[in-house]
Amino acid sequence: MRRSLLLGAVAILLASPQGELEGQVGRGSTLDGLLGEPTFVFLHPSIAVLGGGTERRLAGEVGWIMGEGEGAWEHAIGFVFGTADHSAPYTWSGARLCFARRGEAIRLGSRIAARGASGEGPAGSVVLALELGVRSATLRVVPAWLRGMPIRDGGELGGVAQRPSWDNHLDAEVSVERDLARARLELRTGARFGAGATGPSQWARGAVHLPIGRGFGLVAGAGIRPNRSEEGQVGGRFLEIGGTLRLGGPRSDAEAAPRRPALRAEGLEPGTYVLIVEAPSAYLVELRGDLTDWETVALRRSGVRRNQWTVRVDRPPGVYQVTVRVDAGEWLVPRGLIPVPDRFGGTTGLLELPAAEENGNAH
Amino acid sequence: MRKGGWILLVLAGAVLGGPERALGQEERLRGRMAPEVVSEVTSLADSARARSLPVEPVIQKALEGASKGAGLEEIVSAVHSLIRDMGLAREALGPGLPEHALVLAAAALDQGASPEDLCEFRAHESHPSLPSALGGLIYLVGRGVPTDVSVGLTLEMLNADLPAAAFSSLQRLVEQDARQGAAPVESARVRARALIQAGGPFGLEGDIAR
Repeated sequence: MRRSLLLGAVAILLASPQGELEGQVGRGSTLDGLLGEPTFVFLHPSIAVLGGGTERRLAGEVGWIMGEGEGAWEHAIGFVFGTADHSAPYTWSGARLCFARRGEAIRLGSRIAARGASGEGPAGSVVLALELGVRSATLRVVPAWLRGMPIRDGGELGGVAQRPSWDNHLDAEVSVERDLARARLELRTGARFGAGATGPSQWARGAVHLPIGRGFGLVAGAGIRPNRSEEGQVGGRFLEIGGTLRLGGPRSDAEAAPRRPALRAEGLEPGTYVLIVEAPSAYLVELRGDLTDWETVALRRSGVRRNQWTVRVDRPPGVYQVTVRVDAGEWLVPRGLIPVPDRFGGTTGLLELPAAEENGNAH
Repeated sequence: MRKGGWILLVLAGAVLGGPERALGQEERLRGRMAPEVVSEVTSLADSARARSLPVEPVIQKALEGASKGAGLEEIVSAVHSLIRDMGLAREALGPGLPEHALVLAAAALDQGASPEDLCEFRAHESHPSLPSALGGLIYLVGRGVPTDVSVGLTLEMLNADLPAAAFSSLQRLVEQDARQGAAPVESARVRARALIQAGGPFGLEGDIAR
């Protein structure tokens, strides 16, 4: 019954046209208005091939983000749900609380999730994740308490079900992210400690995240992964491909234009500047203008400040015209730039690259 | 080298250099737009050059149109109006205007300012803050501040010899006020005069923002 309701809700979400859905869950929606905070919807369908067969999963979250900005604590509360089918179906739902703080070089975060479930997996779980991020590396410590769980091991034990009443374990993980052109590469390695632990006790995996449109992305991964039975994930060697859909999310400017990223220029040396775009939650940021002969150029995500995207330009001081877009959306005049008519019925932004003595005063 | 030799060399350079530049422009346009658009734009660029107007903004406008999916007529119309406005701006502000200031002045005309409005800035033709002042004028007019008020405020700021950064501060402050419900025209008046009194934006943004 619960599974039917869950699948029904997901089907409604997926069947809604994107614009309509954004209207429902994004800025200005009834829910948004009621709570006064930005809402978001995240869906992640995937298929994985393991030693013991194929696993199909759909995980999702509907949540609300409160507080945002560098140096400030960001809180989020979400309703998590999902379904997976490996050797037998498993569905779960629950709540998740997140607290995060992004500094210039260091990020701190903690998440706690409590889930109830039915099917082949733990009937209940509480998972706490503590994170410390330095530049593009993240150290993660994850204690988990799982109750009443039959677990399968991905086939390495011949699919034999084990039924401990509790599985308490502690995971320690390190991950590193790196931008490769438009895609983002993530490498993750970790180990599990705990008497009741099942599945691989050490793992290493890689994943490539490729944004393909506004809010949409593809994820491909391979390696050895741990059991995450509370999310229907079977451990072992795997090869996975999946998609991501994210709608809504943090506002970059709550009052003015929430989806407009901010842009500023900083001089590196005479005739060389770095353009910095602030675009929280973006997967892809692109720029075009007379700086680039109106060719579209993808910016690189900063390894230090993850909501910043940069591109280096070699141009003499002067006033240039640019627009940017986020996640392949609409081309926009970034915040901080003066909009001017483009003589084609739209607008572009005036970007001043100051002479050396004025550096620091760029828009 | 004899005097006649120098003259021949200069003439040869002029003859060869012109088509070479034009070929370079065509090269940049080709592959980005249809051949008939390239031909029209090249012809318009030549006409701009003949009037001693800068050609690069013309090429950029055509590239912009192509990247935005504009058709032949739209690109030709946009380029044509840009050349017209650059011509008017140069007449209004004088022949010594730097290229980027000329483009800004043309944008101000497109935004709704008149050549007579621009003439008011002629006394500041060589002021280093003139391009930023023109940016400020474009911003204020675009924000709905009446053109005469916008011209008056930016001129007052130029007369006070404010640095370029003052005009971007004015924009930020008016935006900040607008988010709190203030009318742009009132905010612009108050903020511009505060900047003039302070002699620039230094330390002022934080104070008057409170």
